[in-house]
Amino acid sequence: MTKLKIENLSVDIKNKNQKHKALDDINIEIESEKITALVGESGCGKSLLSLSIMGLLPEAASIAAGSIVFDNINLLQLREKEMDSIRGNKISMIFQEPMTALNPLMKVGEQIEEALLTHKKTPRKEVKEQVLDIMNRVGLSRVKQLYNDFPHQLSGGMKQRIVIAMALINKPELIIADEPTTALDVTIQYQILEMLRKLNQEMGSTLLLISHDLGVVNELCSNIAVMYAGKIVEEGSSESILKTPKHPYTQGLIKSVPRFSQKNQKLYSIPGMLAPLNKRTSQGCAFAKRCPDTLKECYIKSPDLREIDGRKVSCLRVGGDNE
Amino acid sequence: MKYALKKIVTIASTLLVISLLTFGVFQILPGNPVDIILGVDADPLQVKALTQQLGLDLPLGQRYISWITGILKGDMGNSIRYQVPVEQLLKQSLPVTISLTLMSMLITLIVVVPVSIFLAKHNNKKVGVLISFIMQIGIAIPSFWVGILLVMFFSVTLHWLPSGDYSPLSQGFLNYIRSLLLPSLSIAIGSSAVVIRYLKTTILDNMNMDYVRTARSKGVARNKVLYKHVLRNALLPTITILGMLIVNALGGSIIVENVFNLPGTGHLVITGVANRDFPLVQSVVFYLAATVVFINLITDLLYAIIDPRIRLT
Amino acid sequence: MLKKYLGNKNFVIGASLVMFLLLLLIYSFINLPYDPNKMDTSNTFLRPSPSHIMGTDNFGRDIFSRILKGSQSAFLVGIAAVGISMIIGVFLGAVSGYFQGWLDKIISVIMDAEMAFPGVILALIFITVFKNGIFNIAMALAIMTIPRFFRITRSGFMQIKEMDYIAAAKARGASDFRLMFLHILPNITSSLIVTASLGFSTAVLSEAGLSYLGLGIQPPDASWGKMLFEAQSYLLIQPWYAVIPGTMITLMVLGFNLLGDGIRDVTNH
Repeated sequence: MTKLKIENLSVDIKNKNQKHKALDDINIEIESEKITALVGESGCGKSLLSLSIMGLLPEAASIAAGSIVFDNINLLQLREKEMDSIRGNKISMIFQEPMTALNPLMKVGEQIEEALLTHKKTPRKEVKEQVLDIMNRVGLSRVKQLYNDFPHQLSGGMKQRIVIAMALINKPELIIADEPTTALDVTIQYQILEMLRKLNQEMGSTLLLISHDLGVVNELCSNIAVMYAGKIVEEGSSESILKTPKHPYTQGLIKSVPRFSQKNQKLYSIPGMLAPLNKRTSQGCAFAKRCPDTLKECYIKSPDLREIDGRKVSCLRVGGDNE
Repeated sequence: MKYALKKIVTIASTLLVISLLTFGVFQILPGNPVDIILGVDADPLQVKALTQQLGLDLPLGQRYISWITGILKGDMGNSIRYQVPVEQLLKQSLPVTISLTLMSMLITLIVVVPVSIFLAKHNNKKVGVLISFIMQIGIAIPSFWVGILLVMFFSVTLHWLPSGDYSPLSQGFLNYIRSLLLPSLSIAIGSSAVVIRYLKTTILDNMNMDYVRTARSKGVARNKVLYKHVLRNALLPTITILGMLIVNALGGSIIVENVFNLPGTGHLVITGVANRDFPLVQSVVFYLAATVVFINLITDLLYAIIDPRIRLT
Repeated sequence: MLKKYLGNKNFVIGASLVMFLLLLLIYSFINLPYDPNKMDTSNTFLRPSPSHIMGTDNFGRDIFSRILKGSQSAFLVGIAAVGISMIIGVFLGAVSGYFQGWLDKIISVIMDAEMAFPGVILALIFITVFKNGIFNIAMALAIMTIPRFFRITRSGFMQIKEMDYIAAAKARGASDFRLMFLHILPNITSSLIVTASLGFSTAVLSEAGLSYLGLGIQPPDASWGKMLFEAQSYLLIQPWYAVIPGTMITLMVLGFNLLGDGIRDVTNH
């Protein structure tokens, strides 16, 4: 069952009076109760996509076209007040940078309270109970004391757990986690992700996990969508994609993951770099410059997202004409 | 705790330096106070008597000590001009200056928050730019000229408010406020402009911070985020400016009191300077400087108490 | 480069105002319509007319000429105050920021103590002791402005001192003096210019206040502040007399404020 369906979403970013396409005709379907990964390198637009879903695009960005349908409602057509009632309630988000995500002048307990009280009128005593409960469930200890602490008194890992607690307290149907562990120690990373998985199972929510770490994706996610330069290049079940990637970019990504068996060999990395927004061409495939296997047409024609073998790929070499 | 101690030491040394400077400066003065009081052709016996009375025959160090201890005890000698104890003059004039300072601070505080929020919201729009420019004029305009203009408009033309003279609290609350309104406004206009400029910037800075995004992602409405989260964070550093403002208001009152003929401490100092009334000026200046130092101390401590990041480390 | 400055609203408006005032200043040296101090008791309180653009005051003196003369005092006092305080403040700040240690601590404490005084009071003490007169006022205002230059120089020196290219120059055997004034100082020039501009406007404002109180510039020198004081007594008879000098002071302060802000905007990116 589809929880979230994004269709033909395009988002522009305005920079010094010039508009650039940051998200280009995005089409994704996110399955209910599953963990879907959104993978791609920095700058590909994954954070922008999550902000679009939440309706929290920065001032410079604007929706150019498309729809985001959640439970039969097009989020892009909602008024601000209606969107406010969905945020933190039906859909919530966990951000990448825990160090700056919390208000330095408010007790952390109160900040979690806020998430609850914004959506549900709850009597005083119950509020505190619920907050303490969720704090326990995200793996925090001595929560009664922690409740009255301020953000600067907590470690990065603890802060991130507070953010997660805020995101989960209203038992949202969809959780977007934007690289929730990138800024944390590796040891904490594992704990947090495990906790996310467990909670996801317990609450039956849908999780969209944004990451650039394929190892994590492999562990947790049932579906993957791969993004490059504002476009979806490959989408499908993680098992099939990770085992048999069809898009050259996906292939490159998987090849880049360092393996123990590769000892003493030079690490592979995809040659070149993702071009910044203002230097991207709209002609031809965006990945063409870095692709090891280009055809002449790749520089002229932009590939569509096509369905083959139960997954979607956007490559001129795949799905028909040139295979 | 350590912070408070450190502060007290700094304050003490600052006050010491100020007292030394104030005292020292007046010793460089050309001319003998005795000559000024009695005239150059005075009877030598009288000169000797007065010199002894004023303690001017004692060595420098002793004079300083006696002056300092005098101040701490509240005995600051007599004003040459008025021939009454300086503390008496101070006592009479302080209520006026304090009233004026407080009232202008009050006006400033009331005006500042709404205007800053408005400017932050409309930062890049024409309205915002226009009002920001008006703020610049507010900063540049001399407070005494504002006073004159206000008098021209409200007193001379409209006859709504008095053009001067102080009406003490004992003679009725309404008249008290009326006599202070225009003077306070004169000071408040400049102070408000400075704070608004600062507060608008801190609000804008905070609006772009991550914690605002987090709050919005919880579903908190835009306005609520502004008032509940942003404002708190923006007002905190403004406390430091507040101290500076009170100091400015004190300085401003010195001139404004003259515009409106209010018998405050500033007026006292000015007449003292004009009459070269050294004992008066010396002690009052030290008093004012010490007040400034204490105000700064209080704002620093206040800041330290309110900001949990400092309080709890 | 110039484009950046011209694109900044603050700079453009500020620079225009300053240039306007400078033009007035130049004009005041070339062609004063009347002797600003010449009294003409038969022609008091004249309204503005072709022969007296701004009318005459209570003594029959031409207001426009007095305004022009006043610009001379304003600029003179401002430049003197800023000039003197810059030299002293930058020197002290450089020494403090570069060498630090106990010297820095002592000077800093004195500067902090000085900053605690409202500027007016500082100037008042000075004038009490040394009497008024254009030079003394400039000195008083200079003393008031020194801490600004001190602070900005000190922090600039403390920052730049740590940078790599200074270490490199030191390794090449450059002396302290050379490092301080040939290498570090040029890098804080833009902040010094900003401070100078803002200090100038503060000095002008303070001088106007002092002259208003009668403690500033004495006749025969003209001062806008003094004119304001005189105007106050005649509000009923000649309201515009109060408006003109106030406007001039405001324009000068505004101009240098915006100029300083504009330069700060452009050089801080």
